[in-house]
Amino acid sequence: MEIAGNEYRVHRARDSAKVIFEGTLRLSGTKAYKPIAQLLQTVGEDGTDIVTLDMRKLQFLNSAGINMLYKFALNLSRKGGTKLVVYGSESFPWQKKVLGNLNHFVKDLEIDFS
Amino acid sequence: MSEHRIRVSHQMTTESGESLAEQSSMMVTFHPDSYPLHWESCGQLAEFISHYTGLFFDGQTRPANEAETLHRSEVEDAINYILLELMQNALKFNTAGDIEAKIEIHEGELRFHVGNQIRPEDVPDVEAVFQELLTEDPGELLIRRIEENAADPDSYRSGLGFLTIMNDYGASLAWSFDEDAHPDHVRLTIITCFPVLRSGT
Repeated sequence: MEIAGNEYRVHRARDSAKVIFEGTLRLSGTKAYKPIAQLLQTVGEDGTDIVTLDMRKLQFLNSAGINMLYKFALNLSRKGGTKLVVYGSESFPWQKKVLGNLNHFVKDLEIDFS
Repeated sequence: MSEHRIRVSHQMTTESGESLAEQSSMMVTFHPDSYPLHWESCGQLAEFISHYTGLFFDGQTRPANEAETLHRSEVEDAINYILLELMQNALKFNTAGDIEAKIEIHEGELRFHVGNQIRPEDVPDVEAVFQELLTEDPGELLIRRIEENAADPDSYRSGLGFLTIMNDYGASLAWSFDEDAHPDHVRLTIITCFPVLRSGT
């Protein structure tokens, strides 16, 4: 499953609960992020032990995209039983801030910047 | 005939040799009534200004005897995010007339001024939003807003733009209303100050 635009590509790795984000995401608002939110929700509802978000190639995310990410992460954490693993890159300074905030409200979380 | 304007000015302090980037600014004015401003253009503008301004933070223009400034990549990252959020906000809520964006380099901080016009009856709501941002801790407010948004599957307003600017980038926020604007409209200018000196130095 893949959602793509001129500047971005978000897709689910084959046979895996891993979602890969690439490019620049600065869509116009919560509504515009709905297809990606639904992709995340589908992966989250699969009942796997671990959901992985690979953001190492995501250069930019605006606040509406951050809202989508946080909303998904918080609801997954509240549901319980699934660990959230997030891969980030130090090449993009915003990722330390945005992904770091997940520590404040996601219980079972691993953030990997290696 | 209306046209988009871009104005760049530099007043580099060279006398002492210590404050090369003390006062530079760039201003861009859009006239959506004549030429539509597209959503994508906000991102392109933010990217351009971030790269342009980043050149002042390449290590060579840093005052040798003063506090360390942020690295160029951190400054570009911050400008790209803050300016995009301010521009997207201005475009989303502009009711008539021009949209202006200005960035100034001051010693120790970058100041963003982004202005658009709103209806007079919306002023109290806008003021309430800003008052909440100024009176509460941005970190606590951010978590509360995330929880509220997560609890409402139909919410279409994230309300995270200003909060992330303040919480994640340590920027301060101010605003002004100018009634000498387009007839029956009020000009709202949002001013954001982003510190470029590394904290603790």
